[in-house]
Amino acid sequence: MPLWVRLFCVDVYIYCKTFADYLLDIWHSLKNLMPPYSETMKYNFVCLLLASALLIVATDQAWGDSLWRYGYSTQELRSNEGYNKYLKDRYGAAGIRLDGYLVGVTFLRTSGTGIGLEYSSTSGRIRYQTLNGEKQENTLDLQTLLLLLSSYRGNWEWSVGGGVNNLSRTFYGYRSSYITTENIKDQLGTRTSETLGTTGILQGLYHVFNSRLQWSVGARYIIAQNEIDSSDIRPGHNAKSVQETQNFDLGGLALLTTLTYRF
Amino acid sequence: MCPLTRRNLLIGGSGLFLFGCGDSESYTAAKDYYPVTSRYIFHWGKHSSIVIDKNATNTDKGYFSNANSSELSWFETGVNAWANTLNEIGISVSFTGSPDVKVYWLNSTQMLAKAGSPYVLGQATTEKEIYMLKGQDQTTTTAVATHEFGHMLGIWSHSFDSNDLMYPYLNSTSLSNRDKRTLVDFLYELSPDFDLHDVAGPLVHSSTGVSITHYVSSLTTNGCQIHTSTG
Repeated sequence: MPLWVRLFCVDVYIYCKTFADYLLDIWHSLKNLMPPYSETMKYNFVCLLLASALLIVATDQAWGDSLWRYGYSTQELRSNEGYNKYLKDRYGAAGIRLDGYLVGVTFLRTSGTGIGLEYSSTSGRIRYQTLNGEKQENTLDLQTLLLLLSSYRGNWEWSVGGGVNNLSRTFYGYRSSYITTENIKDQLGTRTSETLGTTGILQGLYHVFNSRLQWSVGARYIIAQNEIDSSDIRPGHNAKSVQETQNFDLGGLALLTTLTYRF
Repeated sequence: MCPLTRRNLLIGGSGLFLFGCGDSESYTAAKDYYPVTSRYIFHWGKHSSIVIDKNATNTDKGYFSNANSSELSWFETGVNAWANTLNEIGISVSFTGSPDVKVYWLNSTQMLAKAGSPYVLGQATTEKEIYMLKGQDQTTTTAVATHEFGHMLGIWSHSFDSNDLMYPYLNSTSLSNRDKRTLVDFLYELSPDFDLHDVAGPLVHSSTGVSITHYVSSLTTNGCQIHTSTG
């Protein structure tokens, strides 16, 4: 095995282990120590911690260039099971597409590896006609923060990454299968619900133009699942229409195109 | 630097093409049924008949056949609002013969004693009984009959949309398409935990042996509540 591959593997292993430990520690701390705070606040806190960790790591090493990136991502969600299947069965939403932008920064090492932070915001919508003929639109907004470890070889860039996501769903519908005059106000109309989840990615990018300004295209395999609890304001429902906890698979293959400037 | 070759342009162009594929203006046909139960499924089964005694007597409880002809006609109109929908699944409703469902007409004093509130306009139970308040106008009587018969058909929950007659308040006086599709395409496609033809006395689940109390819906001037009977 070439020396650079072994070095890269060691780097990846150390980064992944450190990153995983960070994430686990953060999650356990948040879950155990911060129950009174909202999920959004936990999310923001995780973001700050990750950014801080990155800065510490970045300033503690001998780094080369930094890459500043803006890109576009498009992905089609699965619809075969869990909450994905529920959306397909109820709204006819097979293959919901999530599109959006990503921004990121990567600090390069002279060995051709890099560590970076990426934020992406993608959204999708389900447009449907109700049984009463009204036109409705449900929306999904997914924000993801990733720590990326990358390897640069010629025109190719390979990355692994992990992080957290915040999914916001704005849905028309109902909450409880037991609808009465006492809880009808909780059921009515369009409501927004947020859930947190974790995300892992594997990514390959090809630099079509590879100078100080890079134009790249590629693909990313995403592993992400968010749990939609039965007590959610817009939960999934089982075959009997009773609300139940379901997993929403936000993973799949995403296609990317990015512009990167190298300082 | 990567040269500007035909291959690279194709790859880059493919990426750009993705931008244009991400959106669609079409609307899918949803099946946004409303819920029909909080746990157990009740219904009469497809290809069956439901016989209603629309003016029943229960001498033990002092309920006598005391509805006038107009009230009986309005009630029948309310029940028949479901008729075409029920025809789709082979269910016929008739008002003569050995009754599956008994309808009692109570005055406000009797309704207060029965339902615990003088504001109850109608009540339906999984014991296959419907209680109607006497002395209401045609619109109210018909709408109450349609709503309570909807419960009797197996919808033991309510709609989340005020355009549906099975909304917990009487906002609408006619069945919506969602009311009809929820009954036919959703509820009657499910296997019932209790076939109402077979229900007599206490509810005991045939598979699990679990005993449950009967469901009762009470439609008042302030909306409809579903609860379990106390005995």
